[in-house]
Amino acid sequence: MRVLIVEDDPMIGASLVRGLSDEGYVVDWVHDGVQAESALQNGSNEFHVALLDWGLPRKSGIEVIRHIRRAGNNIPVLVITARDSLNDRVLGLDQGADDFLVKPFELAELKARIRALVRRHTGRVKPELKTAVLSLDTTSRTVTRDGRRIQLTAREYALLHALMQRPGTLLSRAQLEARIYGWADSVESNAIEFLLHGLRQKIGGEQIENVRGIGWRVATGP
Amino acid sequence: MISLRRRLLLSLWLAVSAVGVISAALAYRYVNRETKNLLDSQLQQIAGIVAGGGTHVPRTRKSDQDIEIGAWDADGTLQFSSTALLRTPSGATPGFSERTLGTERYRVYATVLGGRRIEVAQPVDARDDQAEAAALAAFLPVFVLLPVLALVIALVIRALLQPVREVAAAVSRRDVLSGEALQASALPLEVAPLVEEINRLLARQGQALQRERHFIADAAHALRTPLAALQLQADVLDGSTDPLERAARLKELRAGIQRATRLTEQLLSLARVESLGDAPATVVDLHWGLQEVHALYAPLAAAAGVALEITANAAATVYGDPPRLLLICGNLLDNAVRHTPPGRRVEMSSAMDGAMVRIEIRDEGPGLEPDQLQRVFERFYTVPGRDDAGNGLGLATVETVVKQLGGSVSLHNRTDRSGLVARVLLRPAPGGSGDR
Repeated sequence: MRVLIVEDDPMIGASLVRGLSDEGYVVDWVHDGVQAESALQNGSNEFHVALLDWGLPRKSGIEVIRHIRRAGNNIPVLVITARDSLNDRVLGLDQGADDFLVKPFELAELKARIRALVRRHTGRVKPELKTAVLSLDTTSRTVTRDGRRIQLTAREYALLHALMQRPGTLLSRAQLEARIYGWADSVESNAIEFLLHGLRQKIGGEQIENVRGIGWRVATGP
Repeated sequence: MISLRRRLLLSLWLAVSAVGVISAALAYRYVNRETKNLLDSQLQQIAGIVAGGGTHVPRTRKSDQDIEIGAWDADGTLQFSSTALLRTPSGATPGFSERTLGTERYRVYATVLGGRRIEVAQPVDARDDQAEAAALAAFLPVFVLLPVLALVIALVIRALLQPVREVAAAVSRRDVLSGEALQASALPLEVAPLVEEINRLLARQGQALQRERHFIADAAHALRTPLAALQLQADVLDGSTDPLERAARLKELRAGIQRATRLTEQLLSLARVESLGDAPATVVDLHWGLQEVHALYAPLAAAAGVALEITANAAATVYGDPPRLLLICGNLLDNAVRHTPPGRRVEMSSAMDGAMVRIEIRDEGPGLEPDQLQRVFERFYTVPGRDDAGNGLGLATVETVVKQLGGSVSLHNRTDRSGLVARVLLRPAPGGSGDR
């Protein structure tokens, strides 16, 4: 899962990147409102969620959110703010923010809120993604096949997570790369195939179908 | 604490009682003496009646009851006597005298009229009783009226002091945090100024309270960012087991703690400075001050690769004290050094500038956008987009102190090259001027 962090405080930003990367998220960090807008414009479908600081240089958080919502981007946005007045919250929610987190907060709460936001966004109530055979728990970050737990690396998990977000939907190599690598990562040309190979060995080759020239999808039937 | 009402009441009561007692005593003495004179003239009248041939005195008045009479011929033969005590002349000299007849003291009036000797006598006790009764009757009303007067005085004072009591009640009822003024219009002329002064004080206090509230709100807000960083830094440290990774994260946590510490120190410094109030009457040697600041900050600047120089130092004395002077220069230097790239320099100078003394600190940093030159003095305002922007308290503190000393501070972009000039104007104190 890929997260955009918009935060101007260097310490908070760095810790968020570390904390979320530890969790297996693909994290990109921008420092001001203008950068945030261009990141969300260029790759509006790359990110699953954006963490947006309210007090940003060059363009405030509220302006950013107003702008991207007007542009039709419905990415879930979690606002991180030091201002906790009711007015600020109401204004933020009205402009299109999905959730608020007031500084200071714990990393665990932030992760839970991100999971909840993504769940809500994809229209699921339970923190579980399922096919007929596979089940992926986004809270515990575990994958089971027929009730048996399967150990995956962080990248393999990210790849499977991307595929299982909408079971049956075909994802191209570029789409998969965007989901599991940040801008800072250098991606080898056959990296996705390599990851898929490893993943298929663990969960069963028939679980991931390849449509030649188009992309991959998880098998929906047994 | 003294009560005006009680004092007024007591002193008025004492004065009225004293006047009452003295006038009663005088009345008593006067009436007593007059009554005795009256009784004497009564004795004389009776003597006259007896001399006119009367042998019988009509005892109609109460005061007549105990009067005894004796009358004798020229040869001493008893003609007439009302009592056995006066069968023979008492031997009193003509006129009034006191004699003992039988066992009792009598006041005797003796006279010789038409060859007859006449003596009229009255017991002294009875006379005293009568005089006493008359005198008492004269002074009793004063004693009855005194308490009435005291009550009237008490009521009048109470009514007069009612507005003052109402103000006191209004003050005691009011909320500590209310800055609302007291109603002064209905008050007596003598009390109104006091209430007006209280109102002025309340207004000033209200403003101070307002500032304090804003400060606390701002401070709490400003503390949130470093606290949020600390929380996250601790969380990510917790989430790592790799020793190298942990060491790196611990270092970040330490940096976060340092930042939070610096912020609280600056908050305390600002709070302390604000509580100092107006300028002290003391003066401080500016020439010494600049050298002292240079000595303090040159090593720090050198550590950042920045040269710190004094280019001119006036022999001036300004109103202020060493701590405040060091705080002003220190905070400005701190900013200048932080924004100056390594290899460049920061210059300090002081000189007379009209009626003021001017201190300038010139750096070779990036300077500021024109619209930022004023805003950076606002509390907690930081220049957006700068990682080294500080916490927005240094310049606010400087401005507070400079204003306390009756001076001014401003920032200007350098025109000769890139960089910023911080200019402080302070009031010179008599005793030193001119460039050394």
